[in-house]
Amino acid sequence: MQVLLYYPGCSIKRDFPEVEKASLAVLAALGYKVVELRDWYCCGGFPGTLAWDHIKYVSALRTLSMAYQQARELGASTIVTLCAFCYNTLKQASQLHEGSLEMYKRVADYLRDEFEPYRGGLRVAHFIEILYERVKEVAKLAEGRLKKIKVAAYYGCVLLRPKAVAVDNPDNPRIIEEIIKALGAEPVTYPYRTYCCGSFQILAEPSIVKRNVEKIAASIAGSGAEIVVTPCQLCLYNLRKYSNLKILDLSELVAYAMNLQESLSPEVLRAVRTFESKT
Amino acid sequence: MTSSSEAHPREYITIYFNGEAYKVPKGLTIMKALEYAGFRFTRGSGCRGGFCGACPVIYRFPGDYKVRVGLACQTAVEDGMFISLIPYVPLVERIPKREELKPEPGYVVKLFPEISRCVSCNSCSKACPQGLKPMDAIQAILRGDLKKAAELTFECIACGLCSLRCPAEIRHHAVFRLVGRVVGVHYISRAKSVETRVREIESGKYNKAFETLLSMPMSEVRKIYEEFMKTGRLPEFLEVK
Repeated sequence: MQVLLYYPGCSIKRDFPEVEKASLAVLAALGYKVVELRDWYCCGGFPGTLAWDHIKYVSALRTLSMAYQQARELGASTIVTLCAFCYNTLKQASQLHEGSLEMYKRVADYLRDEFEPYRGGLRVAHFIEILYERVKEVAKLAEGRLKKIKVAAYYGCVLLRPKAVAVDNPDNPRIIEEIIKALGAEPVTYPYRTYCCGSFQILAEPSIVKRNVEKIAASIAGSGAEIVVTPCQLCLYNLRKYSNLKILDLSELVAYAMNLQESLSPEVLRAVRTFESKT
Repeated sequence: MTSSSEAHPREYITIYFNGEAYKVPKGLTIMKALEYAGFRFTRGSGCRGGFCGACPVIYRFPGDYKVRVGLACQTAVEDGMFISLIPYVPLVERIPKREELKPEPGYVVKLFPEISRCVSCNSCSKACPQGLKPMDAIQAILRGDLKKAAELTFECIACGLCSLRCPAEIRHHAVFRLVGRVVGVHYISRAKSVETRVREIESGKYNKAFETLLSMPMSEVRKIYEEFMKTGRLPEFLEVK
């Protein structure tokens, strides 16, 4: 059984336990043994959004350094995240030693008196990358349960930008659409699927988020989608706050399609009940 | 006296305190060495056993950028030490009363907003003379795991060194005191046996036995004690059923 190291992240643990439950159920159904990291800290994504500085990576590199030790013990090589921001920060930190060594050395110097700083050896992956790699098994387990349902994929930005950490072609990503197809559903496309929702401006300047979400929502409304899925929980929060779209975390729709209802919250089950007459 | 000190000649080392050099015998703690040098502690000294957290100290060695920390009563002097005592770290915070405490993850952040500024630099954990992990505790609070934070900081002696080193200006031991209380009140189930006993005491069940005991002369009480230690038996008036 393949072991996946799991980095949860603060917002998943604090604000989105239902996403964690659904995602872990899906990974287990795909045959993974998911092991939460022994020690992990805030990825640094949040301080990083406030000031672009090397200190952003200290936390991520510490987490990776400790994860590497645990990975050796367990014979694991992949560390999976559910949160798009954590993915982005950890992925960038995991590439530091491959890029300009000046930045890597500055960050690693903070860790040298704690342990040997991380220098490669782990793959940082987002949940949707794992799903995409196993898309055939996903299709088999879903048994076409979502037939005839039109689903809009909303990517947001941090899984696609900067290009060096993008999970797919940043200009024309297909990976979520492929997953939607595997569930038996019909993916719809629309112009604003990678447009930024306003992200953490929800804290500083919510009017930006409201403006962006209205554009995105109008674009989705024109696509004929019956439901929207996103792999980013901040997008999920912002889109729920400023639109009336029926929107789920991608993991929740996948869990539903894979018949893992017991892992879903009553709200999600209410949202997907309308499908049952159709399928 | 003289012969023994000649047989084991005392080794002296030099330490620096408040900008002055002092020759002190090797093997003393920082606190003893400073007393040897003629200083008298009126603040920043408490239990002298490493438990009260009153005598944090920071020091450096020439040619080494590392700031080292410890407790003056627990750290041995070394040659070339530059020492500064920290008798008091200002961490003024009112901790709410029991009935005001809320078992919500956001509650601690509300009272101590600075904890969300943690950048995980780990300076606090490197400074802790108890070898605790204050950063892990702060991170646990941020992700809503107050129980873990309370467990990690149970042995905090409130010396304040972590707060002095923190770039986010977190008031660690005040935060930990609050977390400890919230967890104690809201997350840990109360021991039934203690509650039962407190109710019994309040109902006056043991009053008579105590009054009898307190009115006895000391010699009688001692006899009861010695008998109890020897045989485990108490006189009938103390066996309250």
